[in-house]
Amino acid sequence: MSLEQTKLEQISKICRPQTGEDVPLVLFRAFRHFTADYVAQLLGKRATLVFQNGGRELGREAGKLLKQESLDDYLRAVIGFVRDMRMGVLQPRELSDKAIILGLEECLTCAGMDSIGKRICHFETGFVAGIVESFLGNRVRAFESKCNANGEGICEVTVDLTNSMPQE
Amino acid sequence: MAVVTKVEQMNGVLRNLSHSSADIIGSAILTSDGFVVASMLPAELNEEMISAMAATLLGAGEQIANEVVKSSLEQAFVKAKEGYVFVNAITEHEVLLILTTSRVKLGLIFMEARKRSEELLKVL
Repeated sequence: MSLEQTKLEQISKICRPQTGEDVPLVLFRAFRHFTADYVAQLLGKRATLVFQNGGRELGREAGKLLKQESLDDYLRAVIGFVRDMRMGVLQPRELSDKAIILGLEECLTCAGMDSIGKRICHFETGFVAGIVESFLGNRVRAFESKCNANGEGICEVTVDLTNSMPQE
Repeated sequence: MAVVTKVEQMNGVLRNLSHSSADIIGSAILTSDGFVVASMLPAELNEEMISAMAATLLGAGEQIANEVVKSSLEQAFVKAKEGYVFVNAITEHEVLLILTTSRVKLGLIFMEARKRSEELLKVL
């Protein structure tokens, strides 16, 4: 294995001649939700940071692959990537110098679930933050402003651009 | 009259903390999502990663305190051969991190951590 490979390149190599590349979404959700519940038992309310920062790392790496000169072109590439990877359907809701708000329909983690009374898509929130960070070169704050799992019908991530800071 | 910003006030608290003992190597106010609010940490440290680690340490400490002694956590610390790392919760989202040498007087640092956390709570 080359040390030059990115994590995405490493995990993209798949050899499953009998079982193929696709798995039922419920399997992904089982991995995702059981892990989240267990990490929450270990770390309490601070568990969200593990998933958010994990998503942030992925967003940063994906952002490098999708890099474009203009924000419009970049967002178009990101939306295409998210759809092609079947993570969901990203919809820009607000783009200003203060905030970027993106809706996420058909969220991989929670679309179709009954409300469990809390917002849970921390990984997706971090992913969006990382995507924005990759373009801006600054670290940004992000939070999930709506979540289907919280009975709000759609997931939505708000990226706060008023308090960004240089990435290390 | 000059307006003292919150960040300046927080930096002032960290400066006073540093002056309280020569064994304090650095300190910072960090958020649970990996942001550095104010810092006097050594330049070679990755503040983003340290911030996330500190929040995780605090999270594990809070869960252990709840489960084992049925009480809320005040502080978590790590003792290494060359020094200590102390993490104090200021609010739900902000923590005070203090790095010291291994020679530091623990009583002093516990008192300082509590006192500075209370001061920071008024600023945040």
